[in-house]
Amino acid sequence: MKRISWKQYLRQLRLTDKRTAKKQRRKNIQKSPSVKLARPQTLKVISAPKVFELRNKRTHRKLIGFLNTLKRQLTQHQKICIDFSATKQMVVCGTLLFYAELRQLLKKPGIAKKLSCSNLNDTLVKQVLAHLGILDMLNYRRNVTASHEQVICWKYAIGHTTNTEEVAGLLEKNSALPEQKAKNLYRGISEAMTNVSHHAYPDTSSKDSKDWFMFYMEDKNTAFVGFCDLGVGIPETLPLTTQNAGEQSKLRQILIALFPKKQHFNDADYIRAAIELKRSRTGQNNRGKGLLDMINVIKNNTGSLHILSNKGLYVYQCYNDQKQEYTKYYRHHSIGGTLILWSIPINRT
Amino acid sequence: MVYPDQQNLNTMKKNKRIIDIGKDFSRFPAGRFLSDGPNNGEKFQINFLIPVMKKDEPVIIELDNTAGYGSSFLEEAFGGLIRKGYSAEQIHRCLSFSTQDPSLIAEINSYIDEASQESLS
Repeated sequence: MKRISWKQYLRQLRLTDKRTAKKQRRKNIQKSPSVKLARPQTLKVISAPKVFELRNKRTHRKLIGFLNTLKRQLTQHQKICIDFSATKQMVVCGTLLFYAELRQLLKKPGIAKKLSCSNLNDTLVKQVLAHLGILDMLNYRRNVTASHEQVICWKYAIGHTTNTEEVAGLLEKNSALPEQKAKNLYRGISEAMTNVSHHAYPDTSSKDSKDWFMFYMEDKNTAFVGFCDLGVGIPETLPLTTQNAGEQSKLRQILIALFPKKQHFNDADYIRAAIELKRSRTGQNNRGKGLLDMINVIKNNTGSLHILSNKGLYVYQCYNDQKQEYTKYYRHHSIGGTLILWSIPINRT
Repeated sequence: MVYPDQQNLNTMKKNKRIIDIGKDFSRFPAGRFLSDGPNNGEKFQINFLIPVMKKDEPVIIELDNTAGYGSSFLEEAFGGLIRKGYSAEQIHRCLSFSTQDPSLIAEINSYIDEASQESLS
């Protein structure tokens, strides 16, 4: 027999003890029917898109695909790890939708502990996520300080009524917009809030559930404002406005006038028609001017307005007195709500 | 309908009561109905405009000193007076406006006139 060293002998003893203890544990579990083995929770890794952006069709498809996967996997009670290794750019509109969806998901019980993230390789992405509190939502425990000037200019507000005090304070404190442009922007935002209160969540009577989310970001030349809700969307509320035959006929007339070659209308067409219709779900003429207020933020100045609602996008641009309007339709990918994005040049003239 | 110009307003200010929305109500007016939020048009109408209309008292509404106005707030506060049973004539007689932005006055007057036309039709 081979002679073993004292060290090896001790190791064998330890292994024997371990095996015996393991056998004993197994026996105990088999004997006692009340003790059940915990079902191992699988960790599902979901890759975040390269760019968090919604206006471009390709980036829109990737981001909405990612958000749908995230929501689907969370409902299947799996632990989720978001892998940010591919992510290189966070744009206001896409980041705002991601932020809004995360906050809504975290309202559900048991979700907070399921989320985690990894591979935050890009410094700017990491700082943006930390600055907006997204890393906290994703249980990222390491200390990340947002210091880059492109990051600390991001501001956010959330709410569920038309209490504009926080938003106005945010604009007054951080915005270099001249007074009239700031007032026009305030008008657009307050009307967006009113629309959320009246139309976005028709099945919700509770004020607390009518959530909106806002981002404000300003660089040397331009102010970007994103405003978002996760309600039913403009295309869903518009047909409800036309409950009587006269109103239905008016809507049809507008749609035919706008799109004479079309037989069927999509979400983008409905957003365009809503702007033309200038009235709200109740059918009262005194209401529904909110969308025009949103356009007037740009119309009275320069810049661009993007209204994304469900599968549609409406764009209004005004540069050098050249006005342009167009729509886009994302056939398979709905954002599940409404997102408004203003880009306003900060010229003081 | 003749609305007072700025020069007349200065003399009128000496004799009339002034309701400064920014100071007396809120710097952040927004929303239409009471359910919308804290500083909505209906609340301003109930607390400030209806008492004035009941007394048939001429007042000046100071529109500056706020962060801005949404159309919902303005329409409900002023156009909503018609739906409460006051005539456009009485509203124009009681309320005059002071602001650096004349488009605001035109907008308010259009809401009053549109609501008046709707009530007749």
